[in-house]
Amino acid sequence: MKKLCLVLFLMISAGSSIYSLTVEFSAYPHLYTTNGADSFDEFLHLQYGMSLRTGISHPITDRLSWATSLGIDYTGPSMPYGNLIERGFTSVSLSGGIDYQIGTRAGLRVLIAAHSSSYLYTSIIFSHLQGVLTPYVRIYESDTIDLLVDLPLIYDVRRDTPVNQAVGVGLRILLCKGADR
Amino acid sequence: MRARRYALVLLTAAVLLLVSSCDPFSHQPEGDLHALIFSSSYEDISGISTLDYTIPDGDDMAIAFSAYGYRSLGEAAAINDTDPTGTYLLDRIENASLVATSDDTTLFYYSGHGGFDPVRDESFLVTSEDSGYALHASTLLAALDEIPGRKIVILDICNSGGFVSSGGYDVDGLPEDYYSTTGGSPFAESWERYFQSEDLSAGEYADMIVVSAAGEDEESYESGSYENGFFTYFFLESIGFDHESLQVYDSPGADRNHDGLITISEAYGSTFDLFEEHIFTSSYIPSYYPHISGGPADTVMLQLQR
Repeated sequence: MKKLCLVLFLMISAGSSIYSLTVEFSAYPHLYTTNGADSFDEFLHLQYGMSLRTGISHPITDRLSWATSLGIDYTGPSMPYGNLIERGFTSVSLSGGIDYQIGTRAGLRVLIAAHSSSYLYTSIIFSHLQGVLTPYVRIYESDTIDLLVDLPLIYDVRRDTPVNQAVGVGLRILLCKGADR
Repeated sequence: MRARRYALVLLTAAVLLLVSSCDPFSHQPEGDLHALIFSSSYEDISGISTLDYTIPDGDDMAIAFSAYGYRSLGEAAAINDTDPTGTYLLDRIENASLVATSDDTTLFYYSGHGGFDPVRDESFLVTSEDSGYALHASTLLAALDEIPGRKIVILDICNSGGFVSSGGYDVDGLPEDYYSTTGGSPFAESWERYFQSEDLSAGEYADMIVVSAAGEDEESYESGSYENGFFTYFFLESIGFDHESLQVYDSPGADRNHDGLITISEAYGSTFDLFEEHIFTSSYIPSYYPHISGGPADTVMLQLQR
């Protein structure tokens, strides 16, 4: 573990800065509004999603740090609404933001993510931004690894659907913390 | 201790949220299923080369879609309207627009010749008048848009990619010609469209999904060994049509998520996979890409338990 940390640490660190490597998984029901058309009115629907991401974070002050991550996301198709189903999609995303620690255990993270997505079963590509506000609690802490439970509140800014939000649950692992340096 | 309590509260809230988030608005498809299936062989039509397997294409599509509950106007099953003139075809579409309701699904299928008109910068399909009649994409799609409900348009003709919309906020990742490239990065273009200030969805046919056998710059082919157009053959196979018995079997490959419903996107995806297996790897069949419309909405095309 120490060797792996050392290798990763060398890869991701610059100069004397202190970084942590994060790996996180989250799952969420995603509430979208579908634009109306001639055959149907605007309506709300659900699509379930999950994401796996990895990244680095770096402290700015005692409580504040910046974070960046690269992720893959899957959003499944909706259930049927008559003869209409909202397409599911897969995404590759790059996110960046800040992490504010409240006390020793809890914190709040704000990220903006850029997604390049492709509808399932097709080669149709679209792009969208996402804002993610994540309250979290640290449930385990050691010298080399931390476990955090996330509750991401997601607002997906898509141009093709007007309202897009999600609340999910996630597990985040902090590896190779700066303290190991 | 306090952290555990926080974690427990967060986890409980999240689990409750996930469990309780069943979808109260969801309901199964209920509307009628209409079929407008046309094929042209151009036999005895002067000035146009005859096609041998377009009529079998239409016949097989009619059998398969009849098995899934589709009906042609005034018929007990889906039928294949052969060698239509342009006027007849547009009349049939107009009749469908008088019958269909907003809950219905209408399939439009055409197998025949197609082309690209450089003057009007759009593709067209060729109907069965002497010397042919070019029914342009804008005319056909505008006529189909008048039909209430969801519309699925499937075209097994050359240059049919020109019928698939390239507007909106998404970008087709496939080039219009298998042997060329898209010219730029579709990812970069999708970001460019995302930040456009104008409403790019205006003018799109939100109720319609078009699937084309080939790209705007490609030809579509048929084969004596398949006795169908390649695209139609593999499309039918994906939705469970047995080319030997001419019947539909259970568990077709296009039901990708095994929910008992086949959307047009699932059928397209399965057809594309069969193209990858049989066409793209073949050294003697020219390769070409099937295309599909973009947009967030998909249409339930077939219900397996219907």
